[in-house]
Parts: sequence; structure tokens; C-alpha cells
Amino acid sequence: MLIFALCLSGKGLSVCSAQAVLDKQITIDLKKERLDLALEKVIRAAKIPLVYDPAKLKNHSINTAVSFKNESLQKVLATLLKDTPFTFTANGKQSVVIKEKNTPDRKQAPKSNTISQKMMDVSGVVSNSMGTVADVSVMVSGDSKVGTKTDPNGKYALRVPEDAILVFRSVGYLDFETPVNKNNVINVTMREEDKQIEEVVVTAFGRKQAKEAVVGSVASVSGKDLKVPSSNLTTALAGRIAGVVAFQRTGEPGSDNANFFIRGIGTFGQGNSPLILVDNVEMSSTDLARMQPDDIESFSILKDASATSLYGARGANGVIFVSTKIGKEGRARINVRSEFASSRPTQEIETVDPITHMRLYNEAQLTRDPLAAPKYSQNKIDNTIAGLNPYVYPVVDWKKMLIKDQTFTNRNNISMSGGGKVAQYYVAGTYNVDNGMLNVDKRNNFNNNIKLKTYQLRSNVTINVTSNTQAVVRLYGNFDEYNGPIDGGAAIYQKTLRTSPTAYPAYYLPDEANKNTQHILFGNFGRGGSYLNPYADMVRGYKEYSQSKMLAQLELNQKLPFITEGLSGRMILSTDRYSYFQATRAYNPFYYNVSLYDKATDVYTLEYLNRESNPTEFLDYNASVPNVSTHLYMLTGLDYSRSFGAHNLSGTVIQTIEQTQSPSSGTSLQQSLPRRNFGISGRASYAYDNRYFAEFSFGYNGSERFHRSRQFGFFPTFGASWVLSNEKFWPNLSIAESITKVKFRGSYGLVGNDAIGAPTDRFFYLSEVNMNNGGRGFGTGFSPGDYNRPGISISRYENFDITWEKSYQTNLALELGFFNHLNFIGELYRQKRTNILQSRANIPTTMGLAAAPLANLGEAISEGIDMSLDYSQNFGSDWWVQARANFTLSRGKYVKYEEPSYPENLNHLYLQGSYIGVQRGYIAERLFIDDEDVRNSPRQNFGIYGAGDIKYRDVNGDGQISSLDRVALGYPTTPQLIYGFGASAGFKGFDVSMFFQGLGKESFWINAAATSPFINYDDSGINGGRIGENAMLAAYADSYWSEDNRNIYAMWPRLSTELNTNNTQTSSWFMRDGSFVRLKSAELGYSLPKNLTERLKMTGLRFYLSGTNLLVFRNFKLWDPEMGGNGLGYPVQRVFNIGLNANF
Amino acid sequence: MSLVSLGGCKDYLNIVPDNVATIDFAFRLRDEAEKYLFTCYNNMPNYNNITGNVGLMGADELTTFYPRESGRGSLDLTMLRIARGEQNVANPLVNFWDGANSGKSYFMALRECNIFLDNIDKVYDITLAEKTRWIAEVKFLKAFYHYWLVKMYGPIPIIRQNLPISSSVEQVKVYRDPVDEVIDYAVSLIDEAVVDLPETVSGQAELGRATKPIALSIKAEMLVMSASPLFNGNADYLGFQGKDGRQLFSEYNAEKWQRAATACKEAIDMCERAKIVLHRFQPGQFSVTDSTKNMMNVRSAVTTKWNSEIIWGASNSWVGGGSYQSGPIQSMAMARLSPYTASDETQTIASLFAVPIHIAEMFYSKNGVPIEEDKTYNYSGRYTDIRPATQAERFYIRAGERTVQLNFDREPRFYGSLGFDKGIWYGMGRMDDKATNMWFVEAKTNQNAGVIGSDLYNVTGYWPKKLVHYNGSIASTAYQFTAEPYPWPIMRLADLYLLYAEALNEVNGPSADVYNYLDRIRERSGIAGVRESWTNYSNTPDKPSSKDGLREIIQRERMIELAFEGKRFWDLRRWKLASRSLNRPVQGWNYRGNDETSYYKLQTIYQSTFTQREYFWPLSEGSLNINTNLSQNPGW
Repeated sequence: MLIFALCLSGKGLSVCSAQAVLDKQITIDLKKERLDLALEKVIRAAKIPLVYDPAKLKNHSINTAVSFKNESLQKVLATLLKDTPFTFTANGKQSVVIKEKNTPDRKQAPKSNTISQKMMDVSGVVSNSMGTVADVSVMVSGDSKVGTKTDPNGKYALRVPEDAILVFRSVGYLDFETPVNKNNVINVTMREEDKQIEEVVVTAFGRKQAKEAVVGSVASVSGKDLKVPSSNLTTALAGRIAGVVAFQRTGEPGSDNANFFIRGIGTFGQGNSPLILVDNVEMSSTDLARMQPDDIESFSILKDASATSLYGARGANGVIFVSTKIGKEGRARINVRSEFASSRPTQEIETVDPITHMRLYNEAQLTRDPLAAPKYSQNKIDNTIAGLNPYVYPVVDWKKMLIKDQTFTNRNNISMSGGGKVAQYYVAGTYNVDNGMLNVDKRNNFNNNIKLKTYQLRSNVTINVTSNTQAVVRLYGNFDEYNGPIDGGAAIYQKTLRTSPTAYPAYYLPDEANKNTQHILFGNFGRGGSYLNPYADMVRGYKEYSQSKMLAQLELNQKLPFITEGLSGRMILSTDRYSYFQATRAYNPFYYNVSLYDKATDVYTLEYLNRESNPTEFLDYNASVPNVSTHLYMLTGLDYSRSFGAHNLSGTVIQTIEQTQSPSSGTSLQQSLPRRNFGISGRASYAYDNRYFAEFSFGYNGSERFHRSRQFGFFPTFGASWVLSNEKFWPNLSIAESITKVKFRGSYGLVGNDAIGAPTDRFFYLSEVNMNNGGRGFGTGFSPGDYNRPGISISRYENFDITWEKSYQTNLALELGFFNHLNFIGELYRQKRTNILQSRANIPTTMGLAAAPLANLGEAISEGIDMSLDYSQNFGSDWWVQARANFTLSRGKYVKYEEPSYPENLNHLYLQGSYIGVQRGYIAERLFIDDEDVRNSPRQNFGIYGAGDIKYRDVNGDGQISSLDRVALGYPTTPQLIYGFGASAGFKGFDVSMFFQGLGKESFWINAAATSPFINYDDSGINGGRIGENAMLAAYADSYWSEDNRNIYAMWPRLSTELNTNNTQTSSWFMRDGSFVRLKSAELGYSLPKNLTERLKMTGLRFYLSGTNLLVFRNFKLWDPEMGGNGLGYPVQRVFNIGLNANF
Repeated sequence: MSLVSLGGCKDYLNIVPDNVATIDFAFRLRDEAEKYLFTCYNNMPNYNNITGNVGLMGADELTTFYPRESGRGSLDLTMLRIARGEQNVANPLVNFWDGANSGKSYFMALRECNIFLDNIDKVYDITLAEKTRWIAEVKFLKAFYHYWLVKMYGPIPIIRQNLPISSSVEQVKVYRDPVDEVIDYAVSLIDEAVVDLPETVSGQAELGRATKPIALSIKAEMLVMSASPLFNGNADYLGFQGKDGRQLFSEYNAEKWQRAATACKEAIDMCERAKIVLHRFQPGQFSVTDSTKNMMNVRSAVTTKWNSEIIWGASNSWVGGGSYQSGPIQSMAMARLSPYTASDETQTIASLFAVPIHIAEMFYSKNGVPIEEDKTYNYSGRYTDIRPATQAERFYIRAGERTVQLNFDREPRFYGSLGFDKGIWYGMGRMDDKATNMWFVEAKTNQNAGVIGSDLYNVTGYWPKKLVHYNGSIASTAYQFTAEPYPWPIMRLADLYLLYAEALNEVNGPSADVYNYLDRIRERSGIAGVRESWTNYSNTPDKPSSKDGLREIIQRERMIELAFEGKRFWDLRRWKLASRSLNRPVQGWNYRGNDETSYYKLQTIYQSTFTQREYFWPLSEGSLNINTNLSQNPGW
């Protein structure tokens, strides 16, 4: 196995001695062939450059076919060169030089007698497969004084001793060495570090594994591939990685995390989110969202049991494993990225004009109650049309007034890395500014526009304490500073859609009586100024918050060769702290309305509305209880890896201990207690001849949440793979030319999920009792001081039996490679989830229980396919093309779910057998034609209804519509299908890329209550008790049932100024198809030619233009379908971005 | 690098400290056990607000605009939805079976009572006397909660003991028990409890806790209910069976009335021993006229806290005022009396309770007989004839102000119970009835109490003044109203008298005792006895001498005396009169009128509907699916 041969690549731990190069184990079959060709194969197998003169070697050959299995390079070369005039020696730790036996050792040659040496001029061009390479250092081996670099055209010229060996070195390429041999012109083609062969995958607990040897299902992408112009990393996930289901429901800054699931949702229990680990430490999805792609070394998704079983009871929902970059030995490299982005909604909701709003409002009143007094008098409507005094007859476009068309973001990132032999560093800093989207009014005496500043600092330092001991110190801090309106921008945005455009203006100009008034005369309506005035809410004050997260982590890696070869130990200690506090400062606005208006003189008199609510001209303040939490993590482990001939054995044992404390967020004693987790996990793997791989692993976890008897769980897994293309016969097959890689793998195992139940259910085995429940008490008097006692209530009964969810996972995969350009991975999986926690369904209320008993009763099965396709090729020296596609199909089903046993005619009520996440609701047939139609139809039990309201189907035929008529509707609200495809291409300095992403098999519901025109809707409490008036969507105005136009298939039922609970039931009426395909991102870049950058003392400079969410193809047109039912929420954003990336 | 041993990590995971509260802690000390006793009491209905007391707006006594216009905040009109015929099986309104939609979970209440009874012996620092009393109190409450469920649902499963949480699915599928069995069980609980209950509570700290008079009165009320037509030989339910085949309703049994009468008498005797007597208005420093006293006696009997007539006041349900959104009764019932300068949605006068015209018509004439029977009453002109009030009428109607005939020549309880256009609103800081500045209502649009703006108003023109304590105070601006709170009267002596009269009449027909108890109540409000009034003024003078006639009189007397006290809702049901009384247009004056002619016009607010099946609540569909041994009430 390659993983623990630490000298593999420059990324690894460079602790190898020169001899280590020759100890490299290789497996190779050689025919009778020319020596130079044979050595070529050895290079490929060993991945170590051999330096030799082909011209001399090609006259020799191997006389017998020979094969080596896990033999050291030393042995291989000795065998091959046995009967030749050549010998070999390790040259430093990077390469091996093959020379004639009589050649004097060059190490003694160079400096000892320079004078005697003949000097000569050498020049040439250095190129790679695509063209010339600039900035390649050209040196004489063993003499650091002589050297140069290639110019932007790849040319170099150097004066060297005749017998010198030239070393060509550049980042991203294998070193190339060649003897001068009196050639004046030496043209060199640099071999790129071959990703195809070198590719390493990061799996559980940060283990690096050669891709070929991976048995489990792991998908990984580099940080570069996650680079999108967004401050939120999670928005980049959709469609990029096979097996990840991701979608973004809101564009609200700060809470625009995409929802993401690995292989869909496999449980109908509470916890279905993947475990997120950054450098081995568990993080929240928000922490993940804040990560900078530039800092990410690798991003792996662990999908099947074999990949996740080491996480035991926490791995059932998949694992996201991110590792950050660490420093590399070498001179300091500086990477600077700066971006400036503008974002605006992908689509704005269209509402009707103010006059129509008033007319339809009146219609909504009168159609329900002919006696109603219209809110907007004809006089008001006429005068508003006529454009009389804009304060008396206001027309306010709240959204335009308060919200800018676009907002700007500035992101800056700088990283430095480098180091010497003893210590290497990677230090990165980030400074992002999200600017407000509010229109700042000059009436404001303090700036309350949004400004969110984010600072990040990350420092990863690697110290090679001894040749066997390495320490890594990671420090990370994220700091947010926010200043903005009290509600935040998103709430202001929503309020603009909840306020009447004509009832009152944002503010009044002073009338005669208020000539000297100092405060703003905010507009309002009705008693006490109890209506919503978003303008007043915006300018009345501001909020500041400060949020920080700091992490300190120490990793120790100790090789233990003195115990046994191949054994090493490691330890991680990590702690992080989170804190949040906020303060708001605001005044209580004064509200006015026009009491008198003299049309002739155009003079109005204002009425002061809210004396009773004590408005103030001065600020008051309110500070929230700070929220703090700490997290502690400790890992100790032993690793072993060793080869015995063709056999490779490796093993790992790891123990982890974890604790989270957040006493300030709990609301009860039980919630204030720390959360702890303890686990031991292990793995044993065996590989034979790079053809057969087998792996057994397990996790053994304990959680404090369960009763002692159920505290620990054991989760074993077995996996195996077979690389068909490494079989001996394969190269002889005719298809071997085109199919260069064939690998099968599979796994079966058990993993668990302990994130079950509500977060408030801390300890299932304890009852939760409130011994002083004021709401359940009894008093015998009314006045303070009278006899009163609280009561005692119980919110959970003790239950010793509750335990983990278990997931039995099977995974089968096929990997294919074609022509070294095209790679395909296809996987089939099936997960059976048992022990899903659910409420006992068969407990009647006559039991009188205060809390529903829970039990591990449910079972679910989820199945799916994920596939990925990768293609990359260069055409000539100037062109390159890359393309890839991903496809994920995932469906979860209820298999066992405790529910009442329904009679024959109610079979449609069973959840068992339906997809997880499918909504249940009524089948809407049409709208009622008239009251006669209502009378002749089955009675509907959801509140007042009549002509023009939605008519539902009586599914069970009992003559009325009730909850027994609900059926499964459509697809789940989480998409079952996610895909993405994209391509990038480059020509010389230019590059362009496009990425499309789509999802399908998803249904969503237009939120009928939230979009109900004219009603006072406030689900989230942002109105603060003030009365709103929902906007009328243009789409509804175009198609609704009215008495004059009894369109029984109109989009919106009969208007109402009150929430009509008959129409807002979940039903097929408002169900929509959520599928779409969008141009998720596009980018155009230009890298300056080397000669220019060199003049600027840079190693690279690239400018780019990029954008996200540029185009969308969909069925649903009202708003961006990715938002699902949340259409009036903060829109998903379209971003245009300009950036530059400089390297020094 | 050594791995922590497994034993160590078991400790690592053992993070729960000792003494984390569990239910055992409730029964370690007397003071904790007392909290649990109070938890049992806490399950009493929330009589004092519109979301807890279905008797207020669930029938036809009180209504308001509906549906809410925007701007009425969170005012919960669940109860009114019942009156509007929106009861349903999918998600029943006021669901006391499952505890949903403004209903409390009464099976949970019963479970709590049983937990108390099962565990109270564990408390070591309690005296035997106190423990015995507490057990009796909880037994009484257990009876009360059974009674409440029967009142709503008819047959219910009796909860004698708690089923363990670990019970099997079959064990928890209980059957409904026949009504008579449930009643008998509740009676037996009360009989056990009465022995150990105190006759009166000792001091302020115990007011509202169960006593002998309370237990016996509730037993009487329960037995009258079980003897009433809805429960006693109700042909509509005679075939109604449980899933186990048992008949849930039984044939008519005249004995039930005798049992009820006996229980009533027993309760009355106990009340007498406990010095509970009919309340008389005490105006304090002022001497007021008899007119005012007669008017105020009934209002004062309801609103004076812990007055001599109160058998059981709801300690946990104080009737107060406050911001209108939560629907506090006094705020809902109060009319705006003073000029209205500025206004506020959070104002403490909501003025939303509106009494329909037919309730105003229900009250007697000044001669103590129904206005439609009164030979001297201008019945035909009641909606149309408008005249000014005379000086003699000034204690009831503002002298010189004009109002409609319906408001003239009525009994004192009409004036004590209702506020109306130009009617005097006694109290509110103006206690001297001879003064000329008595508060009075002006109800037309743009007047103090009428529609101003478009927010809070009364849709019929009649306010349930009876529910507003006369000692409340209003500021010079009408939005500032401070209510004088009182505990909701669950049972008062007049109620018990009427129950007794009703039961006696059913047993033996008209008798001196029946007239006696009726006349005690009439006399208190200044009207003549039943026989005298009918003989002199009614066009059916013989009515009191027949059993049927007298039944009608008792029922009407009861509805008048106990108007707005949440009784009519239940009485109409047990008398099986709901389908007659609750199927009619609910009407009021045209509150949008701004002068006499436009205001005094009848206007229909809505058509109330009541169907046969609504005599009992539906069980929710969900409950029936989970427990297939439950049968649904007929019609649902």
C-alpha cells in the first residue's frame, strides 16, 4: 500500500533519506526489451525519475523476461543492470542516476577541480505537453552556484562544465535530470506530476489512500473546483459531487446555507445531516459555509459504510471530510485573491400596481361580505389616480424605496506558504465585506445600513521535530462584525411585500402644527399606529453583533520504527470556542396620519396616533444574552502499514473523545449538561499485488444520551475491490488499448446515527419534569401576594430502550478509465435504516400521557445511483479541455412505520410504502362554481368556504372532506434527482468554463397563506405584532375566481382579506413541479503571459469574470424554483463577480 | 498515547448529576406535593376568557363580528366557530378529548389525579388530616373531570386507574362506558370525597378549593343533567352502542329526577349550613334607590368577589380586563362611555361582546312575565316605537334621551344585565344614582360607544353589562379602562335553587316548594312571584299551574337569571332545545346607523345553525383511527 510510504510526494512528509529512494517497493513485469524502454517502465512504476542517457542505454537490452513483485528499486535496478556496463546511485532523495561504471562519482567532480573542467554553453527550450514552460529553474546538480531560469518562452542558456548533470525543476512537474554530454542544445520536456497515477484520496480520519486502493465509496474534489463567487461554500456543492443532494432555498446573506444531504435522506427521523469534519474536528454547516476554497486541500464525501464505519454511530448520514492546506518546503509562495461581486435577485416577484391593489382589496372585502365598508373609498382611489397630494394620497413602492437593486460584496484572500526542512507554514487571511442592500436615507442620523465584515485567519504550521516526529499546529479564527438594521435586511425585504402601497406614506412632511417637531413624522394608519411601516422599522435604530469562533489544534505524528517497522502513532488535541453577542439601539417611532385635508389649499393636518405606546425621540437599548459554547476533541491512534512481497498489510486503531458545552443555549438543567461522545474505531486492510483489496473496519461508540445498557454500539463493515486492469492478462486484451482501467468494488456494513430525536430530548432514559411550572399552577387570589403555587408538569417519560438508528449499507461500484482521458465511476447503493425513532402511534389520548412516548420503531430503505464522468485532454500545446458530469438519484421509502391500522377505504392514509418527504394533502378538484355547487358537494371541514373556494375530493367517500381524505401528493420536497455538468477549456492564457446544475423529482407547494393577498400574515414574528397587508401578486391578479369571471380553474380562489383556511390546506392545487436546470456558474479568465508577470515580479496573474445563477430553465415561472415554497422569502441571488488572483 | 480504558469512558459518559428532577421528587415533601395538588386543580376550564369558556360565545348569547377583519390581531374566535356550525371531526373545536383547539386534555387531567392518588402516601412530612383532605379534593376533581367529559361527549371511558406506560396496544384500546355508569362512578367519587372535605375553607389562601357545598352542588348539577331529556331516555341515542355492544344510553327513568331533586336539596341544606345566602347589592357609602338595588343585585352577585352567594368561584379564572387581544371578559363586555379622543389597538376596552336581540327580548317585562305574554306591554311596537325616557325611568335610561320600545318597561335584570343605546351604566366611579351625571351608553355610529373608525365595535347594540364589575374605572378617555377583577362564578346559590325547582317540578309537578325557590330569586331582583305575575299580567295566566307550563317558566327564569354566565350553552343542550333555539338568524340593531331611523333597524349578523349531531362533540378522526374500540358519536 502506498499511503504510508511517506516519501511519495512533495505534499507528504519529507523525511526520507537517500536510501529511501532505492527502498521504494515496485511491482513490474518486463519483457525482453531494450534497456531504455524497460527503464521507462520502471520510472512509471516507481514514480521516481531515473537519470540516464538513453542514447547509450538503447544499445543494451534485457535478455529474459522478468517480473518483480513489491521488490525494492535497488533490487530491480541491480537485476536489470547486472550484465551491463552501467551502475546506479541515489541522487539525493529525488532521483536515481544511472551511469557507466567507470564514470567518476560526480559528487566529487564539480567543485574539487573546476579549473581543469572544460566549460561549455548549453541552451534549449523547456516545454511540457502543452507548450513551453517559463520559470523552470535549471541548475547543475551538486553546484548551487550555477543556475538560471527559463524565460517566458521557455528558453534558457547556461555555461556549465562538460560533464555536468542539469537539473530542471518546477512546481507541478517531476524533476528532470540529464547529463550534458557535450550537447550544446538540450531541449527538455517536463513530465507533469501525473495526477492520473498519483491521485490520492483522503478518507476517514484523514487517511491518505491511493485512489486505486480505495475500497469504500469516496468522492473528492479539490478546493479549486468549489470556487464560486459566493461567501458561502455550501452553495457550491449542488451538482458538483456525485452523491450529494444540495439545493438553496434562500439568498438571505448569513442564512443562505444550502441544504445538503449525502445520498439523499435515508431516515424520517430527526437527524439527517452529514457529519462534517474539518481537519478531523466536527464542525457545523455554517462553519463549512465560511471556509475559503483557497484554503482547502481536499474535500471528500464519504458515502458508504466502508468509508464511514470508523465514525460508527455518527456516520450513517455520510461524512464530509475537509482538510486544509499545509505548508510545503520551499521559498515563500504568496497567493492573493481579490474579488468584487454584485448580486441581485435571480427574479423579482411581480406585484400589481397600487390602484389595482386598492380595487382588488375592495373586491376581496365585498365578495365575502357585501355589507362591508370598503377600506379604500372610491374617492381615495380617484384622487390617487389623479395624483393629488402624495402625502394624503400616497403611492409607495416600498421595495424600491427601501431596497437597492443590487448589493456589493468584496472578498479578499491572501495566503503564504513555504518553509524549511524543519518547519513549514501555511498562513491565510480573509477579509470579506458584505455591504448593505438598503437605501440609506439622509433623514437618518445614524448609519444603519448593513455592513457585515468577516475576518478569518488560518495558520497551519508543520514542525519536523525529529526525523520520526512531526507536529502540526493549526490555529483558526473567524470573526464577524455586523452593523445593520434591527430586523436584518431580509426581514425588511419581506415587510415591503406585506405593506399596503397606498394606505399611508413612509413619512409626512410637517404640517402647520409640527413645524418645529424634531422627529420624523412616520406614516401609519388606524388606532395607535399599529400597522406595519417598514421604513420606520428600518430607520428607527440599528443592531450590532459580534460573532467569533476560534480553534486551536495540535497534531502529533510519531513513527515508531523502534517498535516495529511500519508502525506509527498519532494524536490530535483540538478545542474551539464560539461566542456571540448583540445589542440593539432604537427609538420608538412616532406615527401620524392625515386627519383633515383641504383640497382647495392642498393643506393637510396630521393626527398623532400612538401617544399610548410611548414613542421616544431618544434611543433605548437592548442587549441579548450572549451565546457561547466550547468544543473539545481528542484523538489518539496507531497506524501500521507494511509490505511483505506482494502482500501489504495495514491497520489502524483510533480512539476519540469529544465534548460540547453550550450552557447558555439550554432551557433546562438537562440541556445545560455537556454533550459527550466516546469512540474506538479500527481498520484492518490487506492488499495483494495491487489487484485485490480487502478491508474490515469497525466503529464502537458511546453516547451519553442513552441509558447505560444501550450506551455503546458496535458497527462493523467489510469491503473489497478488484482492479481487473492490473491483472497480468489485461494488457494483452485488445480492449486494453481503449479501456485503461477497470475496477470493481463493493462493501456491506453497519453504521449508526445518534442524532435522533429533538435537540431538547437530551436524555431519553430520564424523565423531564418541570417542578415549578407557573403555567400549570393554581392560585387562590388575584392580587400579587395572594396565595399562588406553581404546578408540576412532565414533558418526557423515562425510557431505557431508546438507542441509535442503524443503517445497513450495501454499495457496489464500477470504475472505468478510457484512454487516460475519460473516467467513469458508477455506484449503486442501498441503505436499510432501522431503529428510527418515532412517536408511538397507537397510544390513544385516553391514556392521558403528557408527552408522546417514543420508540425505535421505524424502518426505511433508501436506494440510488450516483455516477460521475470526468474528461480531460490537451490538444496541441495551446488547447486544453476538461469536462465532467455528475448524476445522483436517491429515493428513500418508509418501510416500517407505526401507524393505526386503517380500514380498507382508508388505505391511502398509510405512510408505509411511500417516499420519505412526500407531502400528504387533499386532491383539489377545482373551484366551486357557486353556492349551489357548494351545497351539492361533500362538506369540507376547514373553515368557512363558498363559491370560488377550492373543492376537494372525497377520497374515502364518507360524504365529507376531512383529514381522512389526505393522500400522498407528488414527489418529496427534497429532490430525488440532482445532476450537474460542465466544461472548461483553455487557449493559451484564456480560459472559460461553464457549469450547469439541475434537479428533478421534487414537488413544492406555493405557500398559500404567505402569498394570500391582503391578509395580515406573519409566520415568523418579524412584524412584531404590527398589522401587515400582503401584496397582491401579479400572477394572482391575472387569474383568480371572481363573481364576474367564475373561472373554476383560476390560479387563485376567490379573494378574501382574511386568511381562508379552506384554501390554505396542503393540496394539489398549490403543488408545483420543482425541477429546473440552471447555468449555475460561468467564468472567463485571462492569465497574463509570463514575460509580463515576471516584470511585475510575479509568478502568475489571472483576471477573471464570473457569475452564478445566470440562467434557468424551468416549468414554474412565479419565482426562482430553487426557493421551493418560500417564494416571498429573500430571493436567491444572481452574482456577477470580477476577480484577480496573483501569485508571488 | 495510551488508550483510555473502557471502564473509564463509561464514567466519561455518565454526565448526569444526582438529584435531577424526576416525578418522584413531587412526592417527597409536603410542599412539592401541594404543587401537584394544584396541578390537578389547574386542569379546571379557563372560564374567564373567550378561548377557555365555550359557554360564552359557543351558543347564541354573545357574538361578535366574524370573520375577523384584519387588524384584530390574534383574537381567538374558536368558540364562535362552534356557534357558526363549524364543528367538525377532522380537527374538532374545543377538543377536551385530545386536548386541542382551545380544549384541555381531560384524560391527561385524570391521569394527573390518579398519579396524585397513587403517590400521596409517599409524602412523609404531611399530617394525616391534611392528606385526607387533599385526597378528597382530588377525588372530587376526578369526578368533576369525568362529569365535564360526559357533558361534552356523552359516554366516555371511565378512568379509574392509570394504565402503565408500558401497556400493550390492546390494553390501551379502551371502550366507552355507558353514560349512567360514568355518572354513577362520578357520584361515588363525590360521595367518598364529601365526607373528608371541609364545610368552608379557612381563609383567603384556600378560596376556590373544594368544600362540601361545592362537591354536593356539582353532584346535584350532574344528576340534574343526567335526568334531563338529552341523557334520560333520549330516543335519538337509544340505539347507540359501544364497539363492545353495550348500550351507551338507557331508557327513560323517572327515578333519575327524584335522585336529582334529593341531591339538590342535600346541596341546598349544606349551603345553608355553610351560611351561603342570596347576595344583595351593597352600594357602600351611598344610599341608592330600590330601582338601582333591584337592577344591581344580579350584576353584583356575579361580579362581587367571593360574595355570600358564591358556592364555587374559579380561583384560577379571574375575570379581568386588559389588552383586548387575549379576549378578557370585562374588556370584551365593556362599552366605551366617555368621549373618544385617541385610540389604540392595545386599548383596554374592546367592546366586542354583542348580545343578540332575541336574548334582549328574552328578559321579562317589568311585570315579571315574558313581553310576548304581557297584556300591558307594547309588544308590537318594540322595534319601531321610539320615545324619550321619563324622569321616573332615569335609573335605567338616561332621562330625556330617546330609545326604542324594546328597552322600556322591562324587569330590573334587563337593566342590570344589558347595556344599550341610552341605557344607564351604573358604577364606574359614579355610585350615587341620584346624580345627574350617571354614565350611559351612546351606541350610534360616531358616538362614544358606536363605530368610530373601523376597529372595535359591538355588532348588535347590546352589551353584557352584567359581566363588568361596577367598581371598574374609566379615564376621561375611553381607551383607559381598569377592571375590578372577580373570580368566575362556577356555581352560585341562585343556580342551585333553579336546579332544585326544575327537578322538583319534574318529580311532582307544580308545588309550593317550586314556587318558593323561584320566587326567592325573582324577589331579589324586585319582581313579583310567579303565580302573582302570571295571574295579573300574562295572557296565559294558568301557565304556572301545569307541569309543562311551569317547566317553561323555570327554564326561562334560569336563562334570564344566569344570562351570560356560560350556562345557556349547556342548558339548551340538556333540555334538547338547542335545535330550536340555535337555528335562527342572529340579529341586532344596525350599528352602522348614525341616527334613530337608521340605527333602530334590525339587521341579521348571521344565521346560526345547529344540527342534531351537535348535541354531543365529535371524537376526532385521529382518535378513532388509533383506538378502533371507540365508536363515534351519532351523526358525526
